[in-house]
Amino acid sequence: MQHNFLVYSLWIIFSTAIVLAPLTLSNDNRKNFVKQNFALAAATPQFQQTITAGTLLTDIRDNSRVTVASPTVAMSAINASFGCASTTGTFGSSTQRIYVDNPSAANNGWTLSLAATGGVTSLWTSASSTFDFNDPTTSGCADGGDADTKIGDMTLNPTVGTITADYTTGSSIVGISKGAQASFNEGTVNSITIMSAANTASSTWRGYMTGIGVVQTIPAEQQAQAYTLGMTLTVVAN
Amino acid sequence: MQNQQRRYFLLVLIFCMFGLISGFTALATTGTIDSVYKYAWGENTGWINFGNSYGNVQVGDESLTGYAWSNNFGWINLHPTLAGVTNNLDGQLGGYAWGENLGWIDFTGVTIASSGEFFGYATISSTNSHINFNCSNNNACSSSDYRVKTSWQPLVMFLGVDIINASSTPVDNPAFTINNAPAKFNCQAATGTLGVVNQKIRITNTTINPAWTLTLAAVSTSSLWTSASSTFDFNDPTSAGCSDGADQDTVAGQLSISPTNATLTPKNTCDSAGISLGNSSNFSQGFVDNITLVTATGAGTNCYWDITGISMSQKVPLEQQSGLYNLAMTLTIVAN
Repeated sequence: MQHNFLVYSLWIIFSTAIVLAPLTLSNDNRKNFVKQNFALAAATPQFQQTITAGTLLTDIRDNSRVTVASPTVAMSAINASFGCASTTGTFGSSTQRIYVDNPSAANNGWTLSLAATGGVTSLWTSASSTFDFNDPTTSGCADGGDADTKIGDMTLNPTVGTITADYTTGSSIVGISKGAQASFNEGTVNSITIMSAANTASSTWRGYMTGIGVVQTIPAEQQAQAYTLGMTLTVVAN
Repeated sequence: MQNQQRRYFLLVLIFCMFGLISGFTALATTGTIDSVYKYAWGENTGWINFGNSYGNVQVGDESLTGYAWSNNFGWINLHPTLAGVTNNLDGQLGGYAWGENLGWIDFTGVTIASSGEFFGYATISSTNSHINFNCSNNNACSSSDYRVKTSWQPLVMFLGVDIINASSTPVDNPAFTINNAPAKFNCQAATGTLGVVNQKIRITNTTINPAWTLTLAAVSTSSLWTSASSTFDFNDPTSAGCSDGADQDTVAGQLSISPTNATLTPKNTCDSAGISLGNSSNFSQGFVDNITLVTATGAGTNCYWDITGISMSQKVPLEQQSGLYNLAMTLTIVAN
């Protein structure tokens, strides 16, 4: 599974101030001037630093916050049959957490969504067969009006998932919401929101989601094979 | 000062400058009166010649001597017994001259500028009439170009620090920038340079004291890097600046200064002998409140030195909000 991230930068202008001590050179002919002098003079420069907006990103990480190189969601195995069936899975687990990092990058909220990597024409694909993930015809059990001739539909249910804050200076999930249950529908529902943040959420927030329900209908008489479907998580600042 | 911020920092400057010049003993240097610009104009006396060859007027660091000549009122003794015109080394005149037909003449209010020109008015005590030393006093030069001028110049002894650009012009609003750092969920270090081509630190010493120390400090030990909505620290050493510690505030962060590899460029007639760069050091509230950048123990005098390339490193706490942060610092030079 791949994941994308978007970058938002915030640049801010500096201002400064200083006071300079008067600067006047004496005459060379005063070198013989004898003096016990004690002088104190100062200049007051301003030091400046800009902390720029960090990078808003999503990632799949383990429970040590280490990125999982090749995250997968395994759907339950199902026997080939002459009837339409369904298989279930869970997106997001303790060892494959769906993270969002917002280090002051999206002060007006953000949206995390899932879509097929290959676009709306993607298919579950095995060595010799395919079936669909975004054809809701007859609840995913018949081919419908989309461009392909394949059957099948995937439903995500983020409402059963869990959101956990995971940052040092806070633990609030105020303003963070789970997405609504939805089924892919080519041309109509091409991506499904699984988590979002309103502008009331902390602008510095890191956390993750687990336990998103996944249901995929399997067309009747689908060949027994291992099928895969590449999906992409995307987080976008509002 | 040209803006509010400079006026604000003027308070700091005034505080720091109060001890700039203190008691000194002079070996006199003198100047003569210019052969062209030698006349003052008295409203009741007419022209007064301070450059009459018989008068031998001498301008010294502490007093004026000799005689000025008035065609109408005769000789004016600038250094009569028990009186005389005084000079306070920086060209502020005072005291009294004695005119044989004018009586006492008060020189309070007469000054000598760095150009050697006299400005202001003396006052004849008996008539309260004025003697004008420069036509520019009353914008009369277009009709009569007169003034009194001397080869003597005010003495300015100065030990100071300034921020100048590549043309040696003082920078109005110097700001030393630490490189941008993105907001992160981890503590990070951001680096910068104190002293760059267009903002060089210039130390000027025209005193005779070859020993001084240049230090850097925040305006206050309780200062914080401050943005519109957030702060972090510059002097908290806890966890190498990454955690809040025992100081009075509740924010993390630490600024490190390393002058060891800085560049010291002396005035072309001077050298860097007797000058040493300070050691790397970290601000730590109550322990390291100022950091020595440069120390001179036997440096040249009537010299200046430009300093560039002092390394800075600031620990930025984790999850620090994005924004522009400022920290007011003070460069202070003290004669040892």
